[in-house]
Amino acid sequence: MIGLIRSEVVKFRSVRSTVVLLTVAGALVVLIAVLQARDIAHHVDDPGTVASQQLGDLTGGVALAVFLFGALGVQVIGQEYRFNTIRTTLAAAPNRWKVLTAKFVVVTVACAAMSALMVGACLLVGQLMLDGFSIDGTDRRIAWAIPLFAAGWSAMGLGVGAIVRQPIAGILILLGEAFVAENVLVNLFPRTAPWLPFANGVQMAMRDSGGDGPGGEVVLRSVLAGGVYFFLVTAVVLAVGAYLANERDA
Amino acid sequence: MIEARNLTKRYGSTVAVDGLSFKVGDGRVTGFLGPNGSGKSTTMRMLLALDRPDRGAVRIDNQKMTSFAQPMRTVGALLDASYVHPTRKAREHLWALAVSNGLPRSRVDHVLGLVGLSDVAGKRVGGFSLGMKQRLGLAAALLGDPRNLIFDEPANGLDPEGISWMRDFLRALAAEGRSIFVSSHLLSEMALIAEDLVVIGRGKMIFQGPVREFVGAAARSWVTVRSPQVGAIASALEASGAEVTRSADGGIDVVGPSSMVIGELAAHLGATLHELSPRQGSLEEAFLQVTAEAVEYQGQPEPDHGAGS
Ligand SMILES: Nc1ncnc2c1ncn2[C@@H]1O[C@H](COP(=O)(O)OP(=O)(O)OP(=O)(O)O)[C@@H](O)[C@H]1O
Ligand SMILES: [Mg+2]
Repeated sequence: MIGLIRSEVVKFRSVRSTVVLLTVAGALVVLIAVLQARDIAHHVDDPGTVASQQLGDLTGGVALAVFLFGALGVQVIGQEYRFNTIRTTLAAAPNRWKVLTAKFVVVTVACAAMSALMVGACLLVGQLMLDGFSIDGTDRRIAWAIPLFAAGWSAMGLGVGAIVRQPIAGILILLGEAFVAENVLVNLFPRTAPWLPFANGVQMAMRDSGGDGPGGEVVLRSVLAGGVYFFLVTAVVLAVGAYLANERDA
Repeated sequence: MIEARNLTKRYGSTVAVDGLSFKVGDGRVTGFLGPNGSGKSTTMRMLLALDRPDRGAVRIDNQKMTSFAQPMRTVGALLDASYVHPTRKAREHLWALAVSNGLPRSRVDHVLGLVGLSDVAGKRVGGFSLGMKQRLGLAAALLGDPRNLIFDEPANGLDPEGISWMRDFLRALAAEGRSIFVSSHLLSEMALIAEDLVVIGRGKMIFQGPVREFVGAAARSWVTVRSPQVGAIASALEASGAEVTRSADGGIDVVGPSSMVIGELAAHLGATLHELSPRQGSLEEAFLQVTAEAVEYQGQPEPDHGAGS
């Protein structure tokens, strides 16, 4: 198993697109944090406004970065099918459960580590750029939840990638699910809100949960229940992906 | 040793491989022949547990493929040289494989040297020529120093010098006692390197055994005769029921009697012989004849539309 994980690390490192995706995700969050901080610093002197200067006000880029982490999850398996290297991989390691586990470990740890780094960078940005910067309980939750959700969404990508075995299709499915399908669904049928995995999961990484619309009609699960629900869905998708990878011809 | 027992594989309504059983013995090159789409690549993927057979089983050194914790030490394969990630460097490609089987970095450098790719080890594989990719695939197969090797058209894309290099390479590997199972459409090459053959058509076994036997049974054999009295010899042979063809350069080709019989006949006629050469058709000829028959047996008058791999 250690050998397989090391092998996946080598594969992850040695392909340009994965390294670029990971770096861009990190840079994006930091960039958005800097822009946010500038904006807050600019408005903080406006008379009559109480500007929030929390950590959670700076980590908004996570919602974008998470998409890249999902893409990474799709990539680590989808690329192998696209270039048929999956056959070389599986001829060297016939236990497909183990190969997928190794991929899971590598991509989730990479995404979690990069997100943790990003949270650290946002903290630094806040401290350097905002005079009234502060961290409360919600921020501490966010600091934990961002790496957790990043890992979760990359695992979702891995599961989808194992199902569709095609990088582009997998990435489009993830993107469409999170940003199109869930929005359309909740607008047409507000009662589906508790069953949307992305919307329920991403709350834990956000300061103001996108849970209630202007009319308060969109009701998501609580942050905790939403997170649990999200990870459950992820586990199911992963399990289906692993089952199919095991059953189908490579 | 590689053993297939009753391997069968269907893709929808296509029966790609139909009840194949064969053994690939140690210390020899076994050629795997069949027309396009006859199921060679599919069989090889099943040998490696990549495709799941509908029926049948595979044993490598008497074990299941899935029972090996580090299979590269037992079986190496080159299925298709294009199975590489274009932006990965050659050395990293091999290193990722090596480390998955607990092989040391020194093996990577060793196999790169064996196939002559040391100089481009740090280059991205996307820029490699087909011949270089074949060498890289060969290097990957040899990483674990396995006793069993499976190669699907390894000479594909190699230049004449590369083909001759590959020939010597495969022979040397077999001489070290390994089992080598190799498919190729280059029949003249196969005639030079293989001792045994597995020949299939439309997924079914046509022949399994030594190359010599295959060619002996399937290809034409005849005797070329040259003589100042060639007309008299030809008449006498025809009278005895032999099939005689006159060639443009004045000789005759005789099908039927052996060279001994013809020699004695010539002596009896008092004829002088300038040439008396037994000849045999090539592996290619034998192959074409045998596989054409295989198609006929199945009552399929159309040409094979095998989509290739
Ligand atoms: N994954 C697949 N899905 C559907 N059909 C397949 C698949 N793989 C192979 N086939 C079919 O199985 C048959 C055997 O193909 P295969 O590639 O094994 O032949 P081959 O002997 O290797 O041919 P070639 O000499 O052209 O490489 C063909 O009819 C092919 O179309
Ligand atoms: Mg083939």
